[in-house]
Amino acid sequence: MASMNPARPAVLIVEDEVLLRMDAADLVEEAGFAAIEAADADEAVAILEARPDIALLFTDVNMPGSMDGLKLAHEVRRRWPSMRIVIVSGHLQVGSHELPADSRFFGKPFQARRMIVELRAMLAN
Amino acid sequence: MIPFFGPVSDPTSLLKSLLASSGDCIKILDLDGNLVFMTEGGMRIMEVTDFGAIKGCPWPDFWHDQGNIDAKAAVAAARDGGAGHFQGYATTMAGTPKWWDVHVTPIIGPDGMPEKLLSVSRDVTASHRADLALKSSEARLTAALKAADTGTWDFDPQSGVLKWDDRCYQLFGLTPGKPISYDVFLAGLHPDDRAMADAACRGAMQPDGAQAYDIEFRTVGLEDGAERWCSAKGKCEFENGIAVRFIGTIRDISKLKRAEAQQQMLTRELEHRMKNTMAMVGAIANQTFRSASTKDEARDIFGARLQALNQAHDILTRSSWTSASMPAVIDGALAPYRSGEGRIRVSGPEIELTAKQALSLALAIHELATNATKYGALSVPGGTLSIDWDCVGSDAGQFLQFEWREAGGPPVLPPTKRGFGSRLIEGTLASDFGRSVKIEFLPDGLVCGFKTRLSDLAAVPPREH
Repeated sequence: MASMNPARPAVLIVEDEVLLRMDAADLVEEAGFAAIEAADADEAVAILEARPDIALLFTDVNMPGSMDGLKLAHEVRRRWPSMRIVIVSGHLQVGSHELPADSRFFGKPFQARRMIVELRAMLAN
Repeated sequence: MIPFFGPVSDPTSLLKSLLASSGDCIKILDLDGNLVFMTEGGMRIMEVTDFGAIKGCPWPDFWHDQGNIDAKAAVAAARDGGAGHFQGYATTMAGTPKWWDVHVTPIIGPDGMPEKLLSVSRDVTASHRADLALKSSEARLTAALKAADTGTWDFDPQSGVLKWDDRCYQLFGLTPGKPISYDVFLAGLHPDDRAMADAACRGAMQPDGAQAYDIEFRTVGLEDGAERWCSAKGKCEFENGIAVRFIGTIRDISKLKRAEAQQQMLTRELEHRMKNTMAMVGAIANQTFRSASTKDEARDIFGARLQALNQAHDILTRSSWTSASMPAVIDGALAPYRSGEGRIRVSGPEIELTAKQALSLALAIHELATNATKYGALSVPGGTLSIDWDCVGSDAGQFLQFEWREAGGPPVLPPTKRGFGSRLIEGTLASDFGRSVKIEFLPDGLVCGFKTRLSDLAAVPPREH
């Protein structure tokens, strides 16, 4: 699944629930991007440090580990300013003031078709 | 002579009628306490029909028990020139029960020494009964307040005097009897509740304020530092628009508050589980419908996967979602695949899994069994499946080792495309049992195994062999 092909942008999926992670990975592949999976924020940061081809972070909020998805998103915005960021959560509504600049929030469950359109639009330019 | 009695023709006759009209039982006793004389009014009250029958009898003998002791003491006191006083119970001559207030005093003779004794008994039955009724009513109220775990408080807004009962002291974590005031009350409140309670009290004590005082607050024990949830109710009394008394009750509602918090936590937990389950079902549906080649196939696969998830839920529900027994989870997931021919052999000790592990294992076992039925050992007669797990110790600690081994099936070829089933098996097991999960397509049959540290599991009951 992982692809180093620069013509095909890579999306990093951060989700601790394996079924949901696999589902998101399929959705990302269906949208035409390379899906890279991480089970928590620490793993995500390690992958981001190693892979410059990742153009979009797709993260859940509730996660075990040193950072939750929101903290991860802020950290990513600070360290990789041009990264596109999508935050999803089924458990809470995240206010726009809590989100890092230039990021999108979606409540779960989201519609696969709509999410594909959003991802393509965000990665179009 | 007392002037306003006017001219008195016969002082003796006046004295006699005065004594007769008295409501008290007036008697004269000799120095030994024997009855010498009783007034007419006294005979009426004492229901004496024939004074002759009791004349000369020792007066203390009309009293029993403590009354007898008190009467003798009163006689002795009066004989010594003092005064005796007691209250006691005695029946009249006709047997009517009465309470009496009795004074015995000496009648001084010409030589200045007690010559006779005067005994005056007043019928106090009515007030005694009222007193008893009041005491019993107070006792009842106290008992009821105690039973209801309720304390009382009483504040005089004019003088600033505050009174608490023992229960009230207890709810403020203070030794009963310690000096208190409105400021002490405020100091005993949780800082976050202080302003609210203060405002409620001040409001209740204003004639045009909110009259009802019914609030909940936390106290922080003034001496013991313990936090207690309290419900306080009260009402202020006004005279001419001035608050004269603010009085009410206080009750410990810590248990109720704990139950409420527990309820809220359970509701949140349930919502969390519901959302998780919905998300899992959604993901399974997406995966199933994305990869199935026909609608019928999708429906069958989806139904079977939901069934596996449901099985695991049932097991978890039985333990209130705390843990699940590994053999029960495996047996539950395998149940639809057992044909009764004994081709599936399961062996391993009792091990408790966490809720998440139980769900993952159930789904993985389901996918493995589905795969075995379609392509593996269970797809041909004579093929067998054995599932073994055990706890193994090494220098690095205790491990749980699990193996799924198929044999006797058709020749195994590694799949050209990794489907959802194998991804789910590897993914779920790796996520909840560590990254050692390995699926091997050996010539004899598929083998799937993992080894995980036992300390990562819910609990391991002691081995029994």
